[in-house]
Amino acid sequence: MRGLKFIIISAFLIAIFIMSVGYSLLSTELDITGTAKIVGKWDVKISNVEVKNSSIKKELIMPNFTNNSITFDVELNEPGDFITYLVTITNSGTIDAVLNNFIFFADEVNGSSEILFKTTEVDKNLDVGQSTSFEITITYNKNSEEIPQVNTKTITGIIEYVQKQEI
Amino acid sequence: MFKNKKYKKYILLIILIFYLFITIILSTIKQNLYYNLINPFFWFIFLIYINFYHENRYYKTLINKKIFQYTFIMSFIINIIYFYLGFIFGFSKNPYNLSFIMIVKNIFIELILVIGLEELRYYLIVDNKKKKLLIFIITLLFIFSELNYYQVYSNLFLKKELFKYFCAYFLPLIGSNILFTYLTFKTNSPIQIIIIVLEKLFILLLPILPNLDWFTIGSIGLLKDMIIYFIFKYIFTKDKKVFRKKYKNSFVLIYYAFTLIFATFLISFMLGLFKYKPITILSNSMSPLYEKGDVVIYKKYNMEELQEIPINSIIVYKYKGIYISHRIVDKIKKNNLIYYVTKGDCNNTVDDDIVSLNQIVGVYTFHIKYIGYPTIWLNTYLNTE
Repeated sequence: MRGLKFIIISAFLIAIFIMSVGYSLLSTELDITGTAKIVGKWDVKISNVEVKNSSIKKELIMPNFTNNSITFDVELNEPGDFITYLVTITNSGTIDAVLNNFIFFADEVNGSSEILFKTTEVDKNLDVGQSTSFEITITYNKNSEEIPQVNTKTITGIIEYVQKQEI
Repeated sequence: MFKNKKYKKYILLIILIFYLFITIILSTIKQNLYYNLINPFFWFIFLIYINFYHENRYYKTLINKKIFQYTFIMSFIINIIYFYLGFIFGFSKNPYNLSFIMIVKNIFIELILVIGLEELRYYLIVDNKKKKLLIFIITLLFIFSELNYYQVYSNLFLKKELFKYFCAYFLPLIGSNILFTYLTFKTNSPIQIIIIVLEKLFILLLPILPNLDWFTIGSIGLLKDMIIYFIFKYIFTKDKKVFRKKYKNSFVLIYYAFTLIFATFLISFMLGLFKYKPITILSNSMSPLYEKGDVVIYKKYNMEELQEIPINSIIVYKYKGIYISHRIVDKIKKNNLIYYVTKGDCNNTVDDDIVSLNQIVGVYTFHIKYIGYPTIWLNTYLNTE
């Protein structure tokens, strides 16, 4: 009798759980973002951001970053002004990683159309204990002849790694 | 020699110390080789040794007793609740590769480690039940052998990262090891294998996982261990009537219940699960109303309410990665969107940038003086070189 009760309760819980997973996957209202943190095992993250080169003389505000996203709020005043950032990603976990997503996009609605950006490539494979880096250069179009209404722009980058298939 | 019981105890202790030693050394200099090959191979050899040279005393206990059923149901419920946190905090993709071959590989590596470690714990605890000091040392050795030393060394001079690692991983590691030692001691079996295996399977098989920050991971981990401990404490009581009679008028039961409820409430409050959430004030820009070291409690507003905040209200908003609490002095409309102009009461001019509705997290309700100072001290310590 106890064994039967156990089977019924387990089946009930499994059914609830399967429904929950299905709902979370199929629901369009839920946001599924980035890769989950599994402390002690999965630890691939942006570990450092520094200014490599810049034409701006005043102190720059450093970008905000999380494990797998980074946001640059830049202000460039003259054509030809630029900032080059060096972003480092480190795998401090116990699982080898491979690049799954590397995209950068800018807020074109509120930002200046004369501020452009480009990035270098990042290593696809990031094994345990390794680090990789890439550069992002944000420039004020040197050929610009217009005086823009705004001289700022927000640029966001998403860098996602997942477990590497090794077999 | 290997069949002598006394020698077996020493061999197992030496194995644990040796495992701790190779973990500290190899996990920092040869991480990839260690985690993908040496570690699983070590436990594979250990399981072969343990099954040849030690009696399997616990399998009957594990399968026949109702403890197995209770443990399975309880672990399953806890994992469901953990997954449900994703509906509150959001979900993220599982970083584990979900192809069939990699699932098999991941499960093999994880289970070998779990079963090997917990079998070692079982034989060490059960063979030394009367030696409390030795059990304490054994538990400590297990805690330190499960640390990821490469992560520790990477973050050693980054105070903030080390603090987060300590809270998210090390504290729950202490809690779970104490719990597992307790369970092994009480049940004379490594019943915790069921708890750990279910948790690992959830993580390795689900396509999405709750997107939790370090504080949530650490506090939920500790809370989970406490709850499991209290449930098992009740289960292990032989005579439930005597238990209820003993605790009926006793302060102890109220104390246990209060501890659990208070811990759950505090964690939920800090995580912002309620309508009201606290933040610590780090400057005197709103003096004399509130100052550095005070804690402001703000109320979360939805998008409709944010558009109707009256002038002179104090809002809490995110600005370049930090939270600021300033007073609204003006409201403007730009490109059909509402923005607020803010100013600190103690500042001479309005703030440089206007605040959009997306930046606002809530509106000030009241503040509590001085209780934010521990946060200030910690913030100062973590931000100094």
